[in-house]
Amino acid sequence: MKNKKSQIQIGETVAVIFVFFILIIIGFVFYARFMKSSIQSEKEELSQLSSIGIAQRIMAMPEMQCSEDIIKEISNCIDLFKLESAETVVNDEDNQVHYFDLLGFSDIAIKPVYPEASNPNGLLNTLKSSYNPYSNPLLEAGKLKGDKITTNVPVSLYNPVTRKHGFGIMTIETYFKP
Amino acid sequence: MEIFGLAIVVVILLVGVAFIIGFVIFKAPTDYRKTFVTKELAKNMVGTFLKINAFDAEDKCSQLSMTEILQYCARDVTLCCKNCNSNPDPDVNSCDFVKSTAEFIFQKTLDEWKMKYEFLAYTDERSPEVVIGTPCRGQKMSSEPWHIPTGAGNTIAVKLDICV
Repeated sequence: MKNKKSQIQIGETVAVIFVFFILIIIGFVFYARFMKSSIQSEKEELSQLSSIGIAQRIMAMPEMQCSEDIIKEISNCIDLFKLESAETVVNDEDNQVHYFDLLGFSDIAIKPVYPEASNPNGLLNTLKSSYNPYSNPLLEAGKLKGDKITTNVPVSLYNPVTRKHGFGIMTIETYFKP
Repeated sequence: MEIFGLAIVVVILLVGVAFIIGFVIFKAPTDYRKTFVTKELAKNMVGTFLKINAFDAEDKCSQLSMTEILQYCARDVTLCCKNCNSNPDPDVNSCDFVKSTAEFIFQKTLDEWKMKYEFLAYTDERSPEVVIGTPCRGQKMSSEPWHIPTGAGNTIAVKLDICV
């Protein structure tokens, strides 16, 4: 009789410990999932900050930024003559490492909006429909995969000879691992 | 004894739930990029728009910037930007010129990106000279109003609200 009671008590204890461990495991799984999503959202935040940083760096690049009287820089302004040269200089193989440090895994395009490229109306004799001052070489080779963040920045397109400004959009696509 | 163990388990569970509620539900989602980009977009849109020249087919007004045309608009001065000699009524209202140019630009940008917005140029906010888009119902990101002196003793303000 005493033996049976002890066996029942042992059974109860085992059941309680079993339930306890099940709860611990469920809690642990839940915590792991929570941590995973938290790390993911922090990663996304960092990518967003990096994308903002790249956008700000591009806007301040003397290779493209407008200047007046050689030293005075005009914000949110792209010099059309500099831009044409920048397309060659920035994408040059010898300069790849330097610009990769600055612009990372990104792709930058500048599109004239007003006046339209098909009808430049005196802003420039010929306007391209899109300028591509920087494109990561891996992206061009099709090796860059992952999520991307697209940032559009309105810029004025400046002809320093006629001193006229047009309206353009700079599109910055930043790639990051999912 | 088992009851005591169960009570500890329940307490642990409650602490766990409180922890999750605190960190997951009440944690405000941070979207640095959206806030920054929308605010900057509104600001840069207006700043760049005011800087650009008026490009017309006959190159009659391209020496004027949008800022200058807005000054004419505030003073109710008309412009002649196209068909000045052949058209019997060639003058173009400067406010209409600003409006059509802004509409053209917004069509190719904000409309294409499916963004709702309201663009205003006004000397008196109650009766704006130029209105494009519709007022935002909910949250909005605004460019600070750019005040341009008209030369007639007052200013014309230009601002863009982008609905979030």
